[in-house]
Amino acid sequence: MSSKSRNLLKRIPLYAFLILGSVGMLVPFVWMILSALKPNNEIFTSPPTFLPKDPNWGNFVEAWGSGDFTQYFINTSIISVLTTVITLFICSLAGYTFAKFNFMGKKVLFLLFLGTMMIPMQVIMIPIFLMMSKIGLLNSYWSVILPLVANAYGVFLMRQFMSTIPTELMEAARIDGCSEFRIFWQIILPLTKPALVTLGILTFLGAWNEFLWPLIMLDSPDMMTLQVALTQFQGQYEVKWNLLMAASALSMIPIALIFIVFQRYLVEGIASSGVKG
Amino acid sequence: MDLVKSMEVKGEHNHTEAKKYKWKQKLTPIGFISPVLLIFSLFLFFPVLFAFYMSFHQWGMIGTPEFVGFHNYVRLFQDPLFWTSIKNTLIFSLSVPLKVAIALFIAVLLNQKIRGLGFYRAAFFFPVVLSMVVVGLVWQWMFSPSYGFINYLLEKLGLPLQNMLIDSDQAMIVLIIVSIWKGLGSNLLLFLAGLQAIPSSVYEAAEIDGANSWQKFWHITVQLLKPTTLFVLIITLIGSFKIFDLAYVITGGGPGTSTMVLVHYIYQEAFQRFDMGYASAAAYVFFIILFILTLVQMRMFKSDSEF
Repeated sequence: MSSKSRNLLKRIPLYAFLILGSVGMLVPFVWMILSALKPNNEIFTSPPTFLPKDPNWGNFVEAWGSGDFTQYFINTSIISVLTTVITLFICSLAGYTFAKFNFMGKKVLFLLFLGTMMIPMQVIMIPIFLMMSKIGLLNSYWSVILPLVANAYGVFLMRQFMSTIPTELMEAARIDGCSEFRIFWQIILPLTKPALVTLGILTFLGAWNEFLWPLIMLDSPDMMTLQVALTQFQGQYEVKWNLLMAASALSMIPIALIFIVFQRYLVEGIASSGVKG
Repeated sequence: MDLVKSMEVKGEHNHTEAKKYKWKQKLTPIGFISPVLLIFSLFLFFPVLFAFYMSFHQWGMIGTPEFVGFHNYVRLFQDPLFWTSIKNTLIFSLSVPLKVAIALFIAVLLNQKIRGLGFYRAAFFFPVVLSMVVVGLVWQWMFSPSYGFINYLLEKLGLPLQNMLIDSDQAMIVLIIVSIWKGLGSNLLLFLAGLQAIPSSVYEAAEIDGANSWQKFWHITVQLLKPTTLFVLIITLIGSFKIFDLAYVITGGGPGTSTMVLVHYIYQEAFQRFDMGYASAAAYVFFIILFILTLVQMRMFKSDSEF
């Protein structure tokens, strides 16, 4: 036996454990899809079947149609996209200012911003709910978007990235008579793409998956987000688990796509922050 | 700054230009930061102070708020349900060391030259990006007594069937299992980043000295990973204190009040009973607990960051 194959033999337990472990991690996901495909008479057989005997793809269509899922999908998309765009703008503007300018009280302000990372949303949700109800924004997209865009982690991330950009670029643009906002918008911002992508993905995922803010703020059925709608289904369709699993699977399609395309950015973002999750 | 100097050197007629430039330099950051400061003030600074103010008032949805001093806090500490929610949150948090240990163990396994690393990492990481609601729904169905996968598996293995979701002693175990599954990936990534920062020369030196794998793990990996481990421990602990979505979806706080957690209690008092002042007091107690944990974290990092 060569030393190479002996080495491989020694590693069999390692591989067995890793393969079993990662397949085990995927089981709930597989069970969701398999359950979504089971027809009504099969979903409630005890003991359950593993593979659906007669896969019913129509369940996905039926689940989508049994609530106003198109509307929920639109609501969730609007909230997630707007939250992401505004967060990116605000955080990069603040990050740029903190990284490249000096002004009175800068240090104190930066510490105050960082300090907000300690504030759990459960403490501020009650005052913000009352504020929104006072100014009549309750049950609007803005009531969910605005609290989400005040993101100190994003400011910090952008500041770190902006400070690596050479200041000479700004000086050169100033000599050419470029306005300050244009320097930020057309010269600095394009250079921060990697940080913007990381922050953008984390923000989008967070907004798409957000549950407590929309649960509090949105109360009419036509404003509901997917997450809130799914929990409503849970009460309403307690007997139709195949449809609930189908709706759950459909609700996570954008998330799964982002995961597949941007896994590298996600891994970097989470490894560098540890804030989300 | 160099630009200002060079402009001033150029001559008298450029003097006003330089002055204008200086002013612009001062106003630009203020103009840039103002909108951001406004948003942070409206949605963080003001609410956090206002919640404190509210916690001293009787504050319903209708009628005028009335100052009640420490009454809300006294009521809170006399409410057995509040203590139940604290107790349940603590029981849930007892799983934190286990979560961290599992993540460390798998990170060490993944931090070697192995085939299929991308697949394992993706599989362990995937649950992190899913929503708590979807995760909650899927696992509730997995644990369904008659039709779920867990009992399907137990039966195939010839083991006794479970009924955990409707057993008040065991429902919390389900929440712990699910949160281990959901959160493993992000802790794993933090540990992997920490492991990759350990220079391989340290291991090579130990090998020359005749250290075996266990000694290398215990004396090098564990020791050098201490800062990462502390960090992961504290953020996992903070995260576990914030548990709400999972419990809300999977058990709804039940059976009885056996999985009623602190955030659920705050939510219920605020948005189902609309007792806003009282709920703010509960939220502030919650805030103080998290604040202390964060201070502990910062303390530890000051004294332990150099190894």
